[in-house]
Amino acid sequence: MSEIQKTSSNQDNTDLDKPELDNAGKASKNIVAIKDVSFGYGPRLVHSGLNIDIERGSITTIMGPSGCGKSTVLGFIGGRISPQKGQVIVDSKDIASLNNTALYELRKSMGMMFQHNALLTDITVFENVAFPLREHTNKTEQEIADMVLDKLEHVGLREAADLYPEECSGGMQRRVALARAIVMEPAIVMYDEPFTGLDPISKGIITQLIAEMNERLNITSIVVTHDVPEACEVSDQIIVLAGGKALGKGSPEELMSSDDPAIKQFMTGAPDGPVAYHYRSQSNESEGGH
Amino acid sequence: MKFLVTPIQKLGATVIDLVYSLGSIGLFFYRILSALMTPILRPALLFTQLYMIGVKTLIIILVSGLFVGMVLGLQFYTNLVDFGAESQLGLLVALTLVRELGPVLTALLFAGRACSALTAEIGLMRATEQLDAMEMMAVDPIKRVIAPRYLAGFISMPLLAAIFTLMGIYGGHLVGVSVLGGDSGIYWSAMQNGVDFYDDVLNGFIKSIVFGAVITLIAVYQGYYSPRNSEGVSSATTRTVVVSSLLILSLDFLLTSLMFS
Repeated sequence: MSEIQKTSSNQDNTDLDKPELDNAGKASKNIVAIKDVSFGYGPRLVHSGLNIDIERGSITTIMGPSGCGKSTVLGFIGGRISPQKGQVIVDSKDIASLNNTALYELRKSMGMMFQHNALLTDITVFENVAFPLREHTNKTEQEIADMVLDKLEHVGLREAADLYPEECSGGMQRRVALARAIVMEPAIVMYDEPFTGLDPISKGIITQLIAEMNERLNITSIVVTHDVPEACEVSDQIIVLAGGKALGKGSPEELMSSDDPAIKQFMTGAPDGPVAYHYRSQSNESEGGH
Repeated sequence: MKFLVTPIQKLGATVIDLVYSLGSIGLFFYRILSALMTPILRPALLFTQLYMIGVKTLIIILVSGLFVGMVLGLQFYTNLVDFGAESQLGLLVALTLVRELGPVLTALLFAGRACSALTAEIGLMRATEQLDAMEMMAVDPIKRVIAPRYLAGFISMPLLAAIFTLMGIYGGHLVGVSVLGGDSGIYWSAMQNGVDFYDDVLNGFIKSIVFGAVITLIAVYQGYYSPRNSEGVSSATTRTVVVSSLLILSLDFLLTSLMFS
């Protein structure tokens, strides 16, 4: 995919929307670079020497078996989780070197759709989507209403603006979360398991919306999912994680035709293969126990 | 040797946990203090919480205050009559409420009604990733969620204690004077002559401020750091009520010994 420069219409974040320039004065090709990252929860090592590059303007899907640390990667990019080793570079900024203020400033150029939507339950759909605008911009009520209703129109929920999250179905809540993630028109949008628990129609709608928003708003999309068909439909690049590393990277076609048994097993959903189904504790693994 | 080492290890672990918790709550308190300008500059956030925390606790405070005062009126009057000292009823009821029962019972009720709700609400926001979502939207939850709630609790508690005390004094009057036949003028004049503004009213007010500051801090801390599951939120809520109640009673002794001894 050709490099796409961010040209946001959001005037309050003009500085944030400008990609940082490298030494040659050009915007770096990769908006996210994860370099040799290791991370574990207690004795359990989740990532060991993980390397991921995400191209500006692309849709990248991170896949892998449960517990392989897919969502953790989003935590690294958003600065919510610090790796124990290695570097996470987002928009040419080393996340570990940022202080709290700088990190929050960087997050203004990110949007995130959480696995369980994480909508604020005491305010309406409209207010949920308006939340980042109210917090970070000085827009008038009319401007906020225009932006929010525009985003709700795109996700097909303009008439649900006055509902509370609890009054919406799972699919509707997912679309509200998507509208909230893109309302600031950020440079990067992260989707954590956007298809989980949705019916086929809702899955199709979300898939379409991710592609559409990426194209229309010139954003970089990072999707974490298990769903192979949806991932293949929407992605420019798929990264398969397993065993703490990126097992394979490439376009959906390249991965579907890969000869690597682990990638093949994951892409076809085969029960038998090199990726273990049974959970192994760290001590058991090191002893080669059963 | 194991029977000797294990208890020592456990004691050591408990002490380390305690020191860690104190350090953690101290840092958390510092973060709240640093964030207090947000609810001051955005009063809508504060007023919403004053309503949720203060106004919604008002009914239980009014009713409890009235009944506590009525019980005091009944008990004191029936005993004072035996000694011909029923003229001191107003003074006794007022001093008991202003110095002790007003701040202490209000704080206990506040912990049970408002603080438990605070912990559960913040804990659920943590469990349902609402606080994480705010962080990812570059909104500091300490400023947006915690500081307004803390300030609202801090403001509400002394006001509720004052209302509790007033209701108690009225309840004492209702039983001691209206029902049992004591003299109304003596009830109020004994109170007016015997209750000192600085020694009694102000000290009682300071107590309620201290209780409010401490138990609201416990509530928001427990909620903010509660584990991300239903059992964790439930335990955090229980811990808020238990720890707050114990702190109220122990701090009351400490403050009383400093103020009135």
